[in-house]
Amino acid sequence: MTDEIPFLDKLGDQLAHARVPPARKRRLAAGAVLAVAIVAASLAVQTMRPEPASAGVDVTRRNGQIELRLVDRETDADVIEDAIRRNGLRLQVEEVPVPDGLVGRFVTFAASTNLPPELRLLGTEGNQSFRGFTVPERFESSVTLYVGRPAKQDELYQVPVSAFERGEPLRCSGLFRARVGAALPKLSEDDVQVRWQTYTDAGASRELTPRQVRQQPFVDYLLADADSVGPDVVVVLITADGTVPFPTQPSPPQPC
Amino acid sequence: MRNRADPAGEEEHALLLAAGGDRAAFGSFYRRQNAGVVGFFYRRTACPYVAADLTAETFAEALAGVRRFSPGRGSAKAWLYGIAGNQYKQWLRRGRVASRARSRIGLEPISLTSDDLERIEALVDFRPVQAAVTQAMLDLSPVLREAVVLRIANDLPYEEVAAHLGCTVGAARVRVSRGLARLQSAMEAG
Repeated sequence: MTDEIPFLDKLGDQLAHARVPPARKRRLAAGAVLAVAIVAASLAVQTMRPEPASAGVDVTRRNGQIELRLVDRETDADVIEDAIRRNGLRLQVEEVPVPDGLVGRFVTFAASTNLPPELRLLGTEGNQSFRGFTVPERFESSVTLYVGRPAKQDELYQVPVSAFERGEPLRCSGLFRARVGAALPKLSEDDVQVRWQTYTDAGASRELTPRQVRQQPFVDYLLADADSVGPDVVVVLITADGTVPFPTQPSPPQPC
Repeated sequence: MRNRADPAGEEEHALLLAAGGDRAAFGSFYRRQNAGVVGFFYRRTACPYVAADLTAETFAEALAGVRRFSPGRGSAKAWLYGIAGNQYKQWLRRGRVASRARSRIGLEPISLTSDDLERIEALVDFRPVQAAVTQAMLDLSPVLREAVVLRIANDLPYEEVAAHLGCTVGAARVRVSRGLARLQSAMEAG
């Protein structure tokens, strides 16, 4: 079967020469002793002073409500989840790759039903991200919160943002509503991978090849919108009149 | 003594040898099982890239943890597919393929050729699934169908779905959720 899929042969070669770690029985035993010592020490410390707040997460309790705010962009999901559990809540936290501007913010959530009304989001911004939330102390709904982390070079963002936003590739490019023919030289100068899209008459999105956008009619289309979907990967939406076929039009970029 | 003619016993034997450091035994096990594992992932993810990544991580995890295999607790194949199942769940939960096992044993990323893609895609025939999804979509009420298309196929945010449908964001979420639930029921029943 291996002969049929070439990459499996390459993987097999790598596995044949992989460095497999030695058995870790003794280390584990030593590690277990160390872990017991650390736990014992932690318990001793906790009996002597109040529970310290997790670094990067600010939790306060007031009037039967628990308020949690992220105060450090580099706080990872385990630390947040730990802070949540210490306060008796059962919310899950997952990290997802996001653009730089959303790192260290909650970017979305998933609930088994609609967003429970007792969960209030704090520090929301136009991109729907939020810095924290409040819930009653006896909050029991099942909710997963997604917190942004920096994307690796080959990852796509879980939450795209406008490519014209601060920190994104087309910021200050002046290409919003520009003619495709005029935008092409600028886009080819930048070290950005561009994917082109337009809409069919039926309203469905359609991918275009770089060759197609250099030809009529697309070369005369206007840049209606652009999203950063990964590090240096931009989806550019072009239409004949520079508008999108939705009731809400993209906002022009902030002045530079 | 194990009966080497017994294919089930052969896999367990290979893993026990591998646990003792016999890399060739693991290689034989890998060659017999790899296509099945790729198919397992491709059927579930419908993406050859993800399937290849998950396959690599599964076998890396299997090699790194082969000493943990115990024939008394189940067959070698069940052990391998247990690892595969965990990788798949982790991918669903985190939205990315783990790379810890590959990093641990020093595997390099493998890029897929067009030949790889074609052959992985040939492992599974998705046409019956596509037909079933199409029929399930047609069976949805127009309101739910439109909500699902706008949110899932067109990947619009709920605010735009709501604007299209002329309803609140909450109502749009409910419609998408109900539509997906009915699709799921239809697919499970079919």
